[in-house]
Amino acid sequence: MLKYILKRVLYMVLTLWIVITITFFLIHAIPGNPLASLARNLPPQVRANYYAKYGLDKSVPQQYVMFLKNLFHGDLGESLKFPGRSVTDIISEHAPISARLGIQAILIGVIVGIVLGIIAGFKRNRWPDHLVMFVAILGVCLPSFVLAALLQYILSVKIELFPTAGWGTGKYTVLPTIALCFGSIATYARYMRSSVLDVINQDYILTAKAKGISNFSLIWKHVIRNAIIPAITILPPQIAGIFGGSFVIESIFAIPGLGSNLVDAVNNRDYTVIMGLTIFYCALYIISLLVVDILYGVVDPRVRVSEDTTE
Amino acid sequence: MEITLEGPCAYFEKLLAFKTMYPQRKDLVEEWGDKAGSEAEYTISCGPFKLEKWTHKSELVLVKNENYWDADKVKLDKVTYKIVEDPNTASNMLSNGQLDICAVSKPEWLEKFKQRDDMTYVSEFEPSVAYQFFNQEVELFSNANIRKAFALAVDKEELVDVLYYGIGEPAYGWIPPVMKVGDKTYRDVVEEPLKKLQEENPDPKELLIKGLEELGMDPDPSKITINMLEGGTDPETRRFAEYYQQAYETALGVNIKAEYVDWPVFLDRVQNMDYELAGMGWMGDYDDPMTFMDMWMTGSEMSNTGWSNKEYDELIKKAQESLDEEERLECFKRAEEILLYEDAVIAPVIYRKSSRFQYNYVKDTMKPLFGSGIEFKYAYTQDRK
Amino acid sequence: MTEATIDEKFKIIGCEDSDSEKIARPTMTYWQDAWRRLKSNRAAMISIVILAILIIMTIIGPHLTPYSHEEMIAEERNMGPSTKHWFGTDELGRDIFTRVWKGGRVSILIGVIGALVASVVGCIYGGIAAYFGGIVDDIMMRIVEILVSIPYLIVVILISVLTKSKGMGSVLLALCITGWCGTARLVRGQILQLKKKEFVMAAKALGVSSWKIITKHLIPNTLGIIIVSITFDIPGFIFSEAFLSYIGLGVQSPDTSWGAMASAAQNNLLFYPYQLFFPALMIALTMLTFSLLGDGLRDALDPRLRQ
Repeated sequence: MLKYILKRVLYMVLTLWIVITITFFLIHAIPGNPLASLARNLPPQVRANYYAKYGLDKSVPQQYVMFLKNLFHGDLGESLKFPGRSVTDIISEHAPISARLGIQAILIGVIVGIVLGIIAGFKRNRWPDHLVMFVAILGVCLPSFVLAALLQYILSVKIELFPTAGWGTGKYTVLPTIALCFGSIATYARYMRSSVLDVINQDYILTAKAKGISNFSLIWKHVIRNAIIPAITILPPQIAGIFGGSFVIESIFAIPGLGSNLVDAVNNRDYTVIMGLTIFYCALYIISLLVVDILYGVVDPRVRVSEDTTE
Repeated sequence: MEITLEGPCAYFEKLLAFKTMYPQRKDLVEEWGDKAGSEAEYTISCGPFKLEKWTHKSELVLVKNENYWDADKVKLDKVTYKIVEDPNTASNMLSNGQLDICAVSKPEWLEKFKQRDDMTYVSEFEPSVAYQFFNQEVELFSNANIRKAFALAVDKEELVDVLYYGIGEPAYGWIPPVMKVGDKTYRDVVEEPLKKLQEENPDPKELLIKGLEELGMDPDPSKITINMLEGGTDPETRRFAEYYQQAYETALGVNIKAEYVDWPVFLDRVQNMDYELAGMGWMGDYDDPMTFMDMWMTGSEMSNTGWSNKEYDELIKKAQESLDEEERLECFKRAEEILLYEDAVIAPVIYRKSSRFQYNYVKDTMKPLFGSGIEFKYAYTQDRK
Repeated sequence: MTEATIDEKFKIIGCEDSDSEKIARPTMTYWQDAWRRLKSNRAAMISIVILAILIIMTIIGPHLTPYSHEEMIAEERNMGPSTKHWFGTDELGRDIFTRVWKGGRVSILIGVIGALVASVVGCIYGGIAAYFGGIVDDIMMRIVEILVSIPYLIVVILISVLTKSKGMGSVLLALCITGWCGTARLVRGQILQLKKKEFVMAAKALGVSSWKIITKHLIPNTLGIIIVSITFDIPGFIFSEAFLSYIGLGVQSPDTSWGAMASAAQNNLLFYPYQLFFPALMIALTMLTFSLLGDGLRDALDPRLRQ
């Protein structure tokens, strides 16, 4: 197991390096440069100095080597658009906010979704199934910006239960969390239902039933353990996605999270911030993948991670 | 302190209020380097308030500055700026009292708030013009008549109504109504040049065909396709572009293709003359028409139309050096005529206005023309519930 | 005694040898059976009908009104639904009925083509990775991780620069480049589980080729999950396009899509809800019908549910 994890970590470093390299050259390939609007009014000589200061006068491969060198020393550099703000500061200031929202939403989404999916699977084609699936589909039908706007209007403007927007105490997180978790609830409910249907037709379930096992332990010991695998597979993209994809929610609820930072950085061609955030997302994503692969082995005894290495 | 100028400058005092002239603490700026102004702890203030807390992308908290020279007159202890990108969210926050003052431009919200008697509407001219401009290195736009046709093609009254929801005034000149030469308001004494152009040419399409013939091109406008560059990719930019697109196509019979690029790319391409037709806004820096006029001189870094006119350059140079306000006004008047009426280098569209609501309990706020935002020095709240 | 009673009570009426081989019900292929079962699923059949109507409307809908989808009528801005404009007009005075169907073409095409590409590529990729395992799996999964980790916006911007357009094609391409990764991971997870099953071992022992095992045994057994994922992918792609429209990287005007219309109308939600209602309704209908159809297909295609 330890050997397996070590190997995976090595792979992760390699993956990270490739992602950094590809992203670095991609962002330098798209037109537009980060200093265009700031340096617009400057005399040519000052402008040249300005570019030189950030190494932007050098060739892209040279900049790449410089970037890797700094990265090796743990220095992600400074934002080009907001001079004086280091990328590490930006991440450490905004990531906890996104993380808090994301974790709240994923937890609620996964738990509620799985429970609903199991109910629907077991009561197939009866009213609980139809009701759950209707809610699930509705949750996916509404684009997040519509849902967010509706929630904001009803729960904050009409009946003033929660703050409209902004960031502060826990009550500020309620509306965005609800808006974020609807999607995961729907996704998990549907996947769980589908998996449960797959599983309850298996012979070992029939055997277990024939042995007179109680409903609860049937669900807990056999159904959930077997049905949860596809649900786990979709977790890592969700974790990464909730940091990167919540731009809409962040902008509607005026939350200072990472999503809006990335979109702004891309729009401003703020190279260093884009790189820093890419590294952050990528690391987050591949670490969650590793955790999930290990979880596979825990929930499904038939897939033992160590087997992959021996094969 | 004493400042020595290289030459005479009639508008120097006005220039002093521009933010590049604000005082700095040399020792701290040197100590902080690039960090200066990046976080609340790296800012200092000599104004009525100082920045206490800055949560990036969320809020700025200002508290009263006890060291301010006029601190006795400052009544507010704290001012909080909320950073809200979505205008609907901001309006919602104003509507349920989470904000006291908020810029509002959407007509439906305006109407909604205007019906409330606990709020006041404030709309003032800004020293700002939105305009369309043409790349004269493109064969089509090298002809003045064609540019004139484009300048007249858009119905500005309707545009102000549709695109700006009536906030602003249709612009037939380049200098907005609030600008002054000395003590005289420029627009009060100078006719708007585009009005004359419009009276003389009721049908812009004729101008276009005339121009095409002068160039020896096919006089059928429907065979022309023009690429219109847009500096933004959001729905709002799209709404604007789609309007212009349709307006040009209807009035002139040409085909317009809108190309949306991010702002940095837009600036890059305009600077490198890699565009055909584009639109932007210009905001004056100080209270003199010079801030609008010197950008069109030959060799200026700010204009990228490929236009150069000797008479214009000389007029502006004269206005820069002269101390006689009457003479300067005449120079600007003639220069604006060349810019818009004779050469149609650019097509001004609208004089922009600000638009905000504030609760009635907020008193004595000011909006200086060339400051940054609302001034709270004398502001206070009264009978707030 | 006993023998006598049996003889009395029962009479041998004879048995023809050929009858024992006769099958009572007519023979049916797998697909005939699937179709039969799908037909008996009312929700799925209604979905097919609604989908057909939606698709037909996207073809003929724009021609049913005297307006074009880009025509702006300044004096008829923000009008509610009426006999003149069946779905009302938007804030530039364009007829929403015409635009909804015009935009539907783009949205449905993006959804369907995107989901199909994602599923086919994802299945093959995930299937191969999981089946071969070991180093092949490692490398293939690392490639997926790399693709998913590169910021999506950069890829989208780069593609629109490279193809010099923001038409449907380039948006679709941008969405497809990483769109299949989720399906690939899902299929891989399923197949990792399946390949330890006895019937796969049996097939291997009988010397069936790898390709055949993947296509004949592994993929049909993951079909349930794949179909559910397609029904998610279709609105997923429609939504991705909507998100791109929201930040301005979706299909370019004068073209439009449901996503673009919905994100533009979101600002008017409080004042002109119908502007949002119609594109949102179309997205919801598409989503709903694809899901119900997907559920129906899942039941119909699942070999274990065959009766």
